[in-house]
Amino acid sequence: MEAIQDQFQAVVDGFIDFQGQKLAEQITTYTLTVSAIVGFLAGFVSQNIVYTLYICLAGTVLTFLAVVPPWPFYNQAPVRFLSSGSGGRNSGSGGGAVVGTIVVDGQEVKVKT
Amino acid sequence: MHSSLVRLQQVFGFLTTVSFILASIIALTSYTYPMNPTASIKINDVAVVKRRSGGYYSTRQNEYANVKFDLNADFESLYNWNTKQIFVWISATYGGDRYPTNEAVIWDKIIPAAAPSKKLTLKNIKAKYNIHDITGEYAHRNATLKLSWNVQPHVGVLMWGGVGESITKSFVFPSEKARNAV
Repeated sequence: MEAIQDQFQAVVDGFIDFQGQKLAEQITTYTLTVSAIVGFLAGFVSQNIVYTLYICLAGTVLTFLAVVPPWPFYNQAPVRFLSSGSGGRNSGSGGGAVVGTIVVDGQEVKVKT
Repeated sequence: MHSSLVRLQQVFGFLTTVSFILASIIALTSYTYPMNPTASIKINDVAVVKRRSGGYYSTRQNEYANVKFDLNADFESLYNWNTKQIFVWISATYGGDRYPTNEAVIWDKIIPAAAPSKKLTLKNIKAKYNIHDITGEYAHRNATLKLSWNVQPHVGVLMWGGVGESITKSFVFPSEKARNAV
């Protein structure tokens, strides 16, 4: 029962990772802006404002569909936490003991307690 | 943008920004089109009659003026991609002793953008509205007719204008029930 609840909660929440959030924001900005510009030009050139309306509406629907659901490509770089058992040794010396390394922006960084 | 609800709000928020900017630009394009419609009005007949006014039981009497006229007009230049419809009207302007500035609409028409022709050729039509003066009588005053227009855009503010060359030569409201050709 709890598993079903969790699954339902996950669908409602639709969490995505940090890279996905950045991508979602960029997609929002570009699709809405581009559809507005294309719609304006199409309407202005053809002197028919209905084209502007429909192109912008289509762009809006597309943006909502592309951005709101938690599509798999928004979860390609999930945050990996260090396991809770990897640290814990405290030697007491200044600077702390090296308990492992993690990669930040392509560089290895030593993790101290 | 971590959850669906936040993304929904974010997209909608940016949509309102984009829509507002787009609407502003569309509204501004209306001003780039020259609007210079042409029109000429010819007055055929002016009549003043006395009628009961102020309701069914009223015994008050007012003078009403009715005008017959020809209208030739070309409103093509008022139509651009942002024009939904135009409203045109003819008003009579006349002076007076107690109330020196008077203007009353005698005829109007709505021409939507979908109308097949934006030119009007009306022959000897009767004014849609009988006008009456605030004092109740016209007393041989001078008057002129003039055509004015509104453009109702799809996006933006109502635009106003008048056709300068449509102003008629001044005519005189005749005595009650008498008719005079102008």
